[in-house]
Amino acid sequence: MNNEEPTLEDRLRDPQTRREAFAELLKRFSEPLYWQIRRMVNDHDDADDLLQNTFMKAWTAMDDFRGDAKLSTWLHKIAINEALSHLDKQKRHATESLDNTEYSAINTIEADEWFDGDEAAAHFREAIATLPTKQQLVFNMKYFDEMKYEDIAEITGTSVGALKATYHFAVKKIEQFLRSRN
Amino acid sequence: MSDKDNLQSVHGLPKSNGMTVPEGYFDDFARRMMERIPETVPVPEKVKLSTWQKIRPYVYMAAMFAGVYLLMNIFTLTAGLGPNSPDSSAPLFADLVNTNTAGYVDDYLSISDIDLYDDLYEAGYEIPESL
Repeated sequence: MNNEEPTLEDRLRDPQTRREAFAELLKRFSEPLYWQIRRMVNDHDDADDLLQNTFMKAWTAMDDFRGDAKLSTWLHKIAINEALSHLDKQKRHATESLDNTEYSAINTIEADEWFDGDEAAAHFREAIATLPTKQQLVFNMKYFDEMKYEDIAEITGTSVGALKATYHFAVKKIEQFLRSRN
Repeated sequence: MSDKDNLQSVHGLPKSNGMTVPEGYFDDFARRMMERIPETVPVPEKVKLSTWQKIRPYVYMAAMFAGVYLLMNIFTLTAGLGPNSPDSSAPLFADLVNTNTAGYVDDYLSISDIDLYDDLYEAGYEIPESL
């Protein structure tokens, strides 16, 4: 007789237990996904909107989740896609209004009311904002989330070699930026 | 010394980047999300289909293709073009193909190795052999 408890994935697939399981999913993944998004878009309100979109998309697409990928990988993919789409829209808007996207990211950081770091932390955020978007993503996942390259590769669909080169370069560029500030 | 250790020891960077959230944000977020999703999930019922209901989509599809074929012939005849004219049918098929693409939701991540390497090459970065 099989006495194994149904997994979260099993309960999410079953329409009878989906809602209750979704509450558990929110408890487990809200925080890591929020930070994933927030580090990319910088602004708390934008991160909040994008996190809501992420979970709404996950909810509506739950029937399509077959369990081939890990639940966390699937959710991270949706969250990153939401953040990248948002940044693309911002970039298009900045291009239309002849704004510099890096400059507007630094403005967002300076205006962020949900920040209690010191000057070094503020410079650090600015340094990260000077990187191209996808380099920021790789840097954040490696530096802050301390994820393995193999796990990042699974989420982003890129190779470990490309990720290592990207992270290595991102660190060099951040060091250069910080040296110029000191 | 790893890249991360170097960043932290040489530049005195904290593990955190100083970002914070309002107090109780994550509990409040979970509550707001649960309010947005429906109370019950509709369970799809299995409906027994009659023979006509089973073959109906195929009949409609055949009728549609027959209609398209007839329309193409009428247009080519009225335009005075021969039936094998290369331009006579292309726009019609292009329209048909394009009608169903709107609304497609793609959650596939749009990142590739090429994107990452492009950014590196643009900045004039040479990849060390140790990587």
